Amino acid sequence: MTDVTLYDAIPIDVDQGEPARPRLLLIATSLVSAAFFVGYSGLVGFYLSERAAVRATGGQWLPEGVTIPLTQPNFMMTTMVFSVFSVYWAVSSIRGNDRANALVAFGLTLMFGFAQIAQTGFLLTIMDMPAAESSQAVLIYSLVGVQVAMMAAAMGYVVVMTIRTFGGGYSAKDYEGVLSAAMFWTMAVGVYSILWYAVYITK
Amino acid sequence: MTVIETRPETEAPPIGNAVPPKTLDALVGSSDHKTIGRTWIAGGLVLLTAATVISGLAGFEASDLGGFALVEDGDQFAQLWSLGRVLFLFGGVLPILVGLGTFLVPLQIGAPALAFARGASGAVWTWMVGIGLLIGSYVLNGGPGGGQGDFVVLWATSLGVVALALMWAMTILATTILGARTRGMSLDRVPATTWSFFVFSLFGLLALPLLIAELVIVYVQVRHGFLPLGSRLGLTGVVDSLSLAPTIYWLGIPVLGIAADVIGTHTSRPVRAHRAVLASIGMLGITAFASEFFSFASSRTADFNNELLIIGVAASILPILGVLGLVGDSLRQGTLRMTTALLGSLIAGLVLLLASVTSLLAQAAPVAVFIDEDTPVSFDLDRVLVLNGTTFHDGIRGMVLAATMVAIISALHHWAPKLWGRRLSEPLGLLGVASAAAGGVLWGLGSILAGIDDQAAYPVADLVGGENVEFFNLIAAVGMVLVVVAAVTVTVNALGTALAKGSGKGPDRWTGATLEWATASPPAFGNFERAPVVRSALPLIDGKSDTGSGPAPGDDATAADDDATTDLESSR
Repeated sequence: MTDVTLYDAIPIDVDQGEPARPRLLLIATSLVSAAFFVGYSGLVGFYLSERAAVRATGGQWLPEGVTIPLTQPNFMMTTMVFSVFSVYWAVSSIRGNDRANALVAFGLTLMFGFAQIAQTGFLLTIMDMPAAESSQAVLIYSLVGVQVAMMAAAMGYVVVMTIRTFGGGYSAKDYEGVLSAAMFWTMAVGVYSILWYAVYITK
Repeated sequence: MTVIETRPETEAPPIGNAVPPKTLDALVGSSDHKTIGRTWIAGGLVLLTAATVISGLAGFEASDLGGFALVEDGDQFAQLWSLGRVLFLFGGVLPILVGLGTFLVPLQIGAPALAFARGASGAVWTWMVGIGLLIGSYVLNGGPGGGQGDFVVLWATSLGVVALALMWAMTILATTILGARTRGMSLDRVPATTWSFFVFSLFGLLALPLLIAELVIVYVQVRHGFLPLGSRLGLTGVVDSLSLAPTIYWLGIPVLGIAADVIGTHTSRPVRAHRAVLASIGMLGITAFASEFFSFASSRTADFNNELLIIGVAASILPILGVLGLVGDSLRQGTLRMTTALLGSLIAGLVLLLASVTSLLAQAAPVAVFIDEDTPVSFDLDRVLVLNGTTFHDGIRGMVLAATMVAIISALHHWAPKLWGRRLSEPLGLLGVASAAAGGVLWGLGSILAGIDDQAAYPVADLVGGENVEFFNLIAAVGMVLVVVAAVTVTVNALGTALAKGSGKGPDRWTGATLEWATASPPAFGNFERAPVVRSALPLIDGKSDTGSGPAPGDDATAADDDATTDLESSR
């Protein structure tokens, strides 16, 4: 017998733990996603504490003349919810070895992401809030900027996985990378939902 | 024979003793976790020495409240004070712990490599660039108290880069532990050291992002002129979210893991109740993280968070006591070998316990209220945490940092055969342990007494305090000098051994029971000839595990394999 293996067969009586090297990319993505989410939550926590301090003294939080409309944030939230469905559509397609559908789903997801970033730009334009004139504006731009950066990172992750899927790198047997990208995307959507509620809704 | 795992893309080179990289490109490009771990440790030791010297200088400056001798004004003092403490944590202690984890974890869990080995290499070099920029920002009049806004921004950015590099390294460590354990090694069978690095890494992954969030705020506030020059002294408190009790016990997590493994080995009696040790270590992580999470953005002044801090500090004592109690059984019933490793682990645990018990002093008033009243809802905030805002917490931090240093010395002595193929000098090691422990206690004592005498926690424009503050600060400064001695000693000892010529031979185990002692010293690329299969938490003495150092199961056992089992048994 010439079969050479890295590992020896495990005797039946061995109390087996978790299998060796399962889904390292998925584990790492989960940990990084949790870290990013906690970090962004901390940033929002700082914003909320500053806002509460100003309001506690009877002050006005948003700078004079600045209003945050609800239409664009709500539309972006809806877009993000759709994007979660589309990115898991890609996962589902790969699990069924349906590469064509997966590529369409990835494309749709990227389009949703791009739409969110573009609409954020539009929202900031109509808010007409000069960055350098108030600390409130600086905080809001910080929160929005970090959220956009996370969305861009998630899009980059999806682009890489789209290319690898196109090249035949994933299939029903191995779709770890696609699932990891979907998980990271979900985190990015979660980050937007925090921003949506803490800044856009409750102002 | 059944194929149960995909084949590796490349064949590992023949197993033997490792050949260290001889050129810079080989060092920079190495994906071997052992080379990366050694790089973390070497860089950390050098910066730890520098940090202790700078902290000592700041300590002596504070012992003369009438004026400034080493610096020109309060701003420069704040920069000196801050540089010493930031470098101690982010340049010294954390990188060395990450380096130990990077080196040890794959060996202890029977893995041939780290997950994302190239990423691990990227993390260490990113850290080096970040720490270089961080030091540069202080030199160029940035940092807390800095007069140059651009370099204050550089300070925030570079500290963020350092934190990101550490986070990435911890992600890789945690991923390796979760996903690359060998067959049969369930999470409750991993050695205590590996488990402690797992908890330590998870903590870092959840706590360092909060520091980065604070730094983002600092960045935009300074960049856009919303943090004027006079307010920049307050930046000295940015890293406090990580470095005050009970969050600082984060550093105590690896201390406990190292103590459990080292004491178990050097008494030839592995710690019983392995799962209880793991549970205690995990509990300390939860305690430390809970306080960090709930106190984010609070300046440790009297507010509701302090109720959680009281619980946190009290709860931190129990896990430390738990681990020390469990290793005490090994000390009582085992065969003691009075090595630097054994003494260091024991003393590190005791200093950590001393710090956690002492920190309860700050909570004495609210605890009394808690006991006296039926419903502990109305704390007298004027009496709560009366020591907050003083150097009391700096003293606790000093003791915990010193305990961590002692544990690092202990770990380097214990695993030196694996790290460099030979053992470290015992006299130098004992000197280092004694200096670090005594220095840490004096540092802590001086700062705590000065805090009780109302010395402000952070450097201010004019150093102020009660009548005896100068004397207490002198005590602390003398303690810091002893810590400098310890840092120099361990650095010379470790780097001298690393650079010595010759190679180690054989596993060179201290009759250890965990997998790293089943392979060569230092291990070659790939670590094990075959992936080990384990059946207990003590694979080298349970008599059943295949430790990957000899023939496959079913083949005739060799004398070397027999030795792995009988060495320890005969010494008991």
